[in-house]
Amino acid sequence: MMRLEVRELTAVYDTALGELKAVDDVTLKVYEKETIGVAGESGCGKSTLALAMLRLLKPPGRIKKGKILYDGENILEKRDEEIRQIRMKKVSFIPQSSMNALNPVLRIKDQFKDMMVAHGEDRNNVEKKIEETLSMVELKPYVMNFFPHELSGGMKQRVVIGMALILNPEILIADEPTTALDVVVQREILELLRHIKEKLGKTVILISHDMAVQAEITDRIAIMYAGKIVEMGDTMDIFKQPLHPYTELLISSIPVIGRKMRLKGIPGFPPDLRKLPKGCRFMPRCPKAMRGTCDEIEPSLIPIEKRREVACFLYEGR
Amino acid sequence: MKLTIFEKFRNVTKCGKTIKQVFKYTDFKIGFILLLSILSISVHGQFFIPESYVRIGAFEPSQPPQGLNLLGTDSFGRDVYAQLSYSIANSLIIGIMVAIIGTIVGSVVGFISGYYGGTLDAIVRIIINVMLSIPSLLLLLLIASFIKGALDFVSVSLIIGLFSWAWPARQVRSQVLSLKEREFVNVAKLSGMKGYEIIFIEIMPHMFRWMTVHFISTILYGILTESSLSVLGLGPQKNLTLGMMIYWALNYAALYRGIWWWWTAPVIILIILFLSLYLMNIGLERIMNPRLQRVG
Amino acid sequence: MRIGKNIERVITYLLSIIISASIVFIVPRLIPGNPILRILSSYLERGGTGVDIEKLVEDYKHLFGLDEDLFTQYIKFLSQTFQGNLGFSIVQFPRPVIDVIAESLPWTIGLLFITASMSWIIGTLLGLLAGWKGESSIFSKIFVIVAILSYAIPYYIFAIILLFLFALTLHILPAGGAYSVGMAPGFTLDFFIDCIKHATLPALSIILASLGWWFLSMRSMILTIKDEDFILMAEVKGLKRSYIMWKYAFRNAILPQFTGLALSLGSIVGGALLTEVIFSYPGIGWILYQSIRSLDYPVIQGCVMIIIFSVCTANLLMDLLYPLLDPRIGREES
Repeated sequence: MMRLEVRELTAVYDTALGELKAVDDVTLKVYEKETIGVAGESGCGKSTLALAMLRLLKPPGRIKKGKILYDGENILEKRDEEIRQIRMKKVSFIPQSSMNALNPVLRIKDQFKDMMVAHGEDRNNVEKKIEETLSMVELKPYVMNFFPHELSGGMKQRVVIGMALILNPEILIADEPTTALDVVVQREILELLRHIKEKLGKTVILISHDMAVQAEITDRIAIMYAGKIVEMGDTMDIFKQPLHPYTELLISSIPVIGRKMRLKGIPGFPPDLRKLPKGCRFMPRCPKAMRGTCDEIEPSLIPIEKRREVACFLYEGR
Repeated sequence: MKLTIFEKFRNVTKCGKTIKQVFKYTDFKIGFILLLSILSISVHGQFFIPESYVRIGAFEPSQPPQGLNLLGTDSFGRDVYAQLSYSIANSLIIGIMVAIIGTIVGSVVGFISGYYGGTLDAIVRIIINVMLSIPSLLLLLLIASFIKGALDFVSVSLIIGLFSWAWPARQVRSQVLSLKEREFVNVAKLSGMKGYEIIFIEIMPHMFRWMTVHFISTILYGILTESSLSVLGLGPQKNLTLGMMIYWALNYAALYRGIWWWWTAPVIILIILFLSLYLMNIGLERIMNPRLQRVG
Repeated sequence: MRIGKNIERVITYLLSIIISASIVFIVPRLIPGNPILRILSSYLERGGTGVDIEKLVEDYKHLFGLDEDLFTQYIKFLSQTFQGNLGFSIVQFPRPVIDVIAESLPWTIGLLFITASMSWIIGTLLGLLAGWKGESSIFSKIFVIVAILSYAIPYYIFAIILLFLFALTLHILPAGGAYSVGMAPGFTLDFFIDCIKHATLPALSIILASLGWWFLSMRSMILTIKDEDFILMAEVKGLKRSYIMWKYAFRNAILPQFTGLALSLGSIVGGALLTEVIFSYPGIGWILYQSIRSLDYPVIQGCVMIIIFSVCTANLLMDLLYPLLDPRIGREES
């Protein structure tokens, strides 16, 4: 059953030098209980997509076109109060750099409390729930009396994850949950996410440029480049046999312990989203580019097999 | 191509780029234009109006603007416009002198304290805090009232300067402290640069930009303080500054006797002067701190 | 950590007081000749006016210990000053300086307290709204320009302009003094109203001169905070905008705003002094001004000491109170 659908969404930033298309005509279907990843380099539009999904885009960013359907209802048309109720209760969000996501002058428990009260909970009855949630994210309950600066980075991250869980939402959007953490803490957070996915049975949308993280947790992946989805499919399939050249490069850039190899990056830079080249956006950096085709027309996302789509002329006509 | 230290310094400071950059900001532009207008009044007055206009009895006293007297005359029969031209220059000179003392002394103190650290720094930091917490105007009033007879250009600038170094010192010190920690100083040290090279090429250029910002705001402070002292009767008695003009006007009851041109002229010029310096300051600060660039 | 910082603050405070007192002590003695004696002798020449000159000279010699060595003088001076003995006024001899000042203090405290707090509160709230609503509206731009004017124009200029406009031209409000000549001071409604009328222009002048800075600094603080991640998180949590403005933005921005108040105490007091002078408002600023004109040195010194002492003490109190507002001070990472 489809819980969330992003349909032909275009989100732009109005800059002095023109309209920057951060998300360009993206369609994404998220099914119940699945963990879907959105991967790509910095600047490919995945964070903008995540923010847009909860109508959190602020000027100069705005949604230009498209729909975001949650259980069939377009949230872009809802009133402010309705959206506020949906946030964290139906669809929750774990923002990037959770280090700074906490209000420096409020105790942890008050930061849970104000959210819970805003969603209708009784202000005198919240402590138990907060305790339970903190335990769930493997924090001792006394943490709730602390102020944010008294916690370490990893602890703050867990608090934010706890906030995203406490109202028992069906869908969780995690934006780069493991970036800016050291590897040990990263591992712990990953395990926590896995627990959320398996034990709690939630639907998770994982935004991350880290392909290794994507490989560990996700069932399906959408690869984004320069605002568009260029490949989509089951995680296993994509890692076994990446179709789009960009996907290939992304996967091969993951270093493997035990194997002596040169660190491979992806040559070149992402394009300027205000002045996009004609044709395929990846062409300037693509090792398999075909002159005459790739620089003339933009490839569209085409289903190749069941559950696999790719936007690349290499596979056109299959 | 081996660059001399001076050239390297200039490159890093990017003086030319800074100047071009700062002119892009509207507030700096407006401030600069206002300053230029005031300066041109002063220059015009000093070059084109005979000096005799400023002497007592040169004209009929208390005359409204008419004829030769663009801004009328005061109770002594002196031409107000001529006085204004000299006052503008004098006020600015005092401001600049205060700024020179304050910025140079402050920057040197702040720099040495920040760079060498240790007990010296701890002591200097406390001294700076003491200087900043004492309301300096009051001590200035005290000192000025005791040397009343000897109050002139130089002495006024000196005593105001005495209290103007603490703020630049604190800013420079905190800048140096944060720069000390930053990567490039360590890199320079590791790559074998000598002490003075580090100072000049890595640290000074940043300091230079900060000193420029402080210079303007210290000029503002100097003129503000001097005019406050003057209005209370403790300014350079024998000289004409904008504050002294207001003092004379108030003391000869210009407000009550309707001789409005005598006091409105210096008041309006002071307002424009402060505005211009403040606006220029905002523009410069924005370059120093890119985070401010978004803000109003 | 906290104790250490507080000790340093107290040390700075004590040093400030002692250094100021020392400056007050040294300055008269640096002048060649003794200005006090100079005035005394000029009074003597003019034959005096019923003042017992001999006793005056003796008392002063004794008070300042001018016959003793410098160090003893210094200690005596310090101990006397801190016991509240500020000497005698020359002009109003044998009235003690303390008396002269005590009479004027209530006026200054009343004026200053009310205007400084009103201006800080109003400026901060306006700054909060202006910052939160955003930069683009016309309203916002006008407010900013007005605030810049308020900040850039010195206190005494506001005083002069208001005096001219409302008192001398329009004759709506009195031109000076704390109450009308001939009014008997007392706890009557009439007197109270009269005081308010007289205090209006000085108060308005101080408020106009100080409002701008509070507005601008709060606004800029809010604009900066608006971009912070925790504000985004607050929205993610589904909180109402107005709640976020108060509990998230305001609550964080008020901290540096409070520090700003402590830092500007000195200049606000200076500005209030000048305002009193322009309006002949009989507070300590007016007394100071009069004593400067008549060269009543003991009163000058007394006023300077009292004002510096008050400002430094207020500063210290605010510094010590700050940790109560900011939970980040004094707690370490566990």
